[in-house]
Amino acid sequence: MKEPAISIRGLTKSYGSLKAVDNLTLEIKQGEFFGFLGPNGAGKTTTISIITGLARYGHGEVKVFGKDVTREYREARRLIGVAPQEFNFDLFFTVEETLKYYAGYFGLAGHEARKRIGEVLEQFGLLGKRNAEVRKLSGGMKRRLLIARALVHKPRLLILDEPTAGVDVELRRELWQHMKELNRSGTTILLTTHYIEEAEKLAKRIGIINHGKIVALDEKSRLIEQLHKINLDITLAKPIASIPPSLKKYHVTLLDDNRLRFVCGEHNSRGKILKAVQNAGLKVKSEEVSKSTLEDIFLDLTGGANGKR
Amino acid sequence: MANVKGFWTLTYREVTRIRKIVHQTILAPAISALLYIIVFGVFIGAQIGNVAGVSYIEFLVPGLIMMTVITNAYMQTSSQILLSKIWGNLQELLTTPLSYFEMVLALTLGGVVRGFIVGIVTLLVALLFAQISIANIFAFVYFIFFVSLIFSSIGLIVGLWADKFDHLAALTNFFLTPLTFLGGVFYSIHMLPAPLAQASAFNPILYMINGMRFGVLGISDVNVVFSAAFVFLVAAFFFSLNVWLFRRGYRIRT
Repeated sequence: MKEPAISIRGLTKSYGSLKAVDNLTLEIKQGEFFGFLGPNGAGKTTTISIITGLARYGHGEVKVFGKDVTREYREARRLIGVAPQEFNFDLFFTVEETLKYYAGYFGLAGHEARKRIGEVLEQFGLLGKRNAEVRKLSGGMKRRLLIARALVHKPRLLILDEPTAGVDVELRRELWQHMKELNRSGTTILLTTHYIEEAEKLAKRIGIINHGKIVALDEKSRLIEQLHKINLDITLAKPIASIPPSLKKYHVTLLDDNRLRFVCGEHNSRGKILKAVQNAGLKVKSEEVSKSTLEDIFLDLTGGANGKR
Repeated sequence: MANVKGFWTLTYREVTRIRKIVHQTILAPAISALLYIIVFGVFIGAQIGNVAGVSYIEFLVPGLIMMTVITNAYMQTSSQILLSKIWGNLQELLTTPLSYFEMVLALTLGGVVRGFIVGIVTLLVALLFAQISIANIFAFVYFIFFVSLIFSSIGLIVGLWADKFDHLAALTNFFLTPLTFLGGVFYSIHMLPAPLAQASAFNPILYMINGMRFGVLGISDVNVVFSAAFVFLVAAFFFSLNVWLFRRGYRIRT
């Protein structure tokens, strides 16, 4: 059996009394495109920092292709390419120097390095900027360079922390295209993002983290299926004060005093629900079917944008 | 397995940085050497006569070399690490497959190279005003190497600890400059009253300056073998401390 690309077991990391990562267990298979979602401060970046060696951790075990990130840190880091959320360049070096040095740290030098640097410069539209100092680049160009740098040593695992934050639509689409191609050619990708659309478009499997814990983990299609439950909103002819007891066995919420929302599923079809409503002595004025999105599920699981539980 | 290419890449990067700030690395020490040598060596030295059997200007030069080496080796690594922390590119380095030993060695070697450059620049400036021949080239190289290793290691530690550039200057102002001035750059400890001469024995920089004086002039106020062993041990201590701090992730890893 192939080693998982990332294997995290019982990982706990605290900042003082705050548990940033709380007994987290997660396995990402080789070749996967994994979307890691969660609100700000949920523990995404902390988890990534631990995988890449930028953060220490209290308990647990983290391996990358079977290499322990603490005990075998050099072997593990050789296999990882990381594009962090914040730019972390030496601003006085040029684009090409930045790539040359980074490649060198990974043992790439001479002709081989020049060839590879040429490739990523071209791939990310940086050829014209190769001799420009990093501090003089625009935000979009820096973002390109960040990802080009992460790829210069051809890592088997690419970690992208919010790669499209603050990026215009055109570049975002271009980056998506690159990610898809990379994954197709066998690179395992771990992507964290705020843009749920991005995870929906790219990832094959999705994990949602909140308060340092995984709250959902599934194939994207299944998660969305689960998320894309069908809501049946029924507007009643007359307002009611509370949900009649006979309806309580259905997954139902009172939206306004005259609107009920049912979640349709295997055991509660639209027909059944409508019948039950009539049996409860309520008159239906209108009905509307709506699908929930990944965003609804996300908000549902993480307790809304404020991170309330 | 050692990451030899990675190690040389980082060392080369550090040396490149010296080239990029050439006004700080060559011009500044050259001008300060020029001022010290003209004011103290030429003008005041003419009134002083011989010290420890050599002219005052000759006596002064090794101390100046060591003073410049100390300051520059310290500045090289401390400012580099602090800037890397502010820009975040220290993290860039930490995601690479370099061992912590390799990282520390490459970074401190940057300080050592800068130490040699400024030491030689100071010597060349001195040669315009005084006839100096290196008495013991081995000691000259040995003391520049280990003293710059000590202060580039200390610079790394201070750079890791510091949050702003004021912190770096604090060590220079409160420790390096006073200890260097009191370490016999400008005088022989035999010129001091006995209690002060004895107190000077506790100043570590005294041994460095006298080691250099032995290298350049062949004279020293203190036992040169002791000085050589001393700088070696201090360098080994601070270097190992750095490797340990990097491994622990002191102020680098959250």
